[in-house]
Amino acid sequence: VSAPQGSDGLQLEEDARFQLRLWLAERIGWGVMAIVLAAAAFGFFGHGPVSRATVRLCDRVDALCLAVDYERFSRIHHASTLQFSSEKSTADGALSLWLPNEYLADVDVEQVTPNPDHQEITAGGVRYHFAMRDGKPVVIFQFKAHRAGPLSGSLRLNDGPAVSFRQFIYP
Amino acid sequence: MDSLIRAATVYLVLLLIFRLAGRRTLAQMTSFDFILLLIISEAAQNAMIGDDYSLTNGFLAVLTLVGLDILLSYVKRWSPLADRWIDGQPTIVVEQGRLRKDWMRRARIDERDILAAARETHGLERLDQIKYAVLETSGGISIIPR
Repeated sequence: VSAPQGSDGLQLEEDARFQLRLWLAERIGWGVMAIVLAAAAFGFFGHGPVSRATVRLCDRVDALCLAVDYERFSRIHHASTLQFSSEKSTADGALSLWLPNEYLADVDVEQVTPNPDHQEITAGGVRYHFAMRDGKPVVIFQFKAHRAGPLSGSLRLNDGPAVSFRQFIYP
Repeated sequence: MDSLIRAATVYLVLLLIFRLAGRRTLAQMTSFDFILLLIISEAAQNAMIGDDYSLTNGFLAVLTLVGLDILLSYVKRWSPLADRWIDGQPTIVVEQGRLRKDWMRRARIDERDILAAARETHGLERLDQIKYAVLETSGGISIIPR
C-alpha cells in the first residue's frame, strides 16, 4: 500500500508506513483486550473455574477432615469466602478453626456463619471455637482483603497440622 | 498518594483503551454512544474514587487528571513521535475523487460515512463532487469539495 505524499493542493502530512504501523498496533491491542476478557471469563481475576480451589484440612488423628473452598484470585475490598465443609457426618463435639495473625492483618473478617461460640487468642493466631451436634458441619468465613498482592494464609483444624493456601488480591 | 495513583492509572488505562478502540469509536455520538460514555464514566469513577467520598479525594483526582492532561500536551509538543502515537494522524480516504478502498477498510469507514459527512458539512449530493475526504484524528471526516 502506498500513499502519495504532498498531494496537490492539500497541505497534509501523511506517513503511510506510520499509519500502517499504527493500525497494526491497534489490531495487536485488540488481541490483548480479547485475551484479558477471556482470562476474566475463566476467572483469572476472580469468580470463575480457574479461581476456585480446595484444600483438605484434617485434625491430628484424621478423625475429622474438612474440605476448604477458597478463591485463588480476588480483588481488594471485595467479599471472598473460605468455606469449610465435611462430606460425612461427624460425631458430636467441638470444632475449632485457627487462622494466623499475618493473614488476619491483611483481611477484614466480615462475617462468620455460624457465629463461633467463642474466640481465643493463641500463639500466632486466633482460634474460633464452634459447638458441633450431629450432621455435616459447614462453616463460612466471609472476608474482604484490604491489601493488594499475594496473600498467604494457613489453617488448622482442632490441633491438626497447619495447611497453607495462597491467594492473589488484585488492586 | 493513593488518590494520585488511582487517578493516574485510570487516566492512562482509559487513554490506552480508547486509543486501541480507534478514533471512530465515540466520534459519531449516536444516542447509544452517549449512553456508553455515561456508563464508562460511571465505571471509571468508582475505580478512581474508591470508597473515599471526601472533597479532598475528589479534588485530588481532578487535579491529577488535569495535570496529566497538561503534561501530555507538553510531551506531544516535545516529541512529534509521541504525538503521532497518542493522537494518530489524519488519513486521506478520498483523493482527487478516488476512493482509497484499502485505507477505508483499515480505518473501518465506508462510502456511506463519507457521503454523510459530505451532506452534513457541504450539502453535497454525490461522491464525484468530493475532491478530498480526510479522516481526522478526532474521528470526524472532513470534506473538501471539487
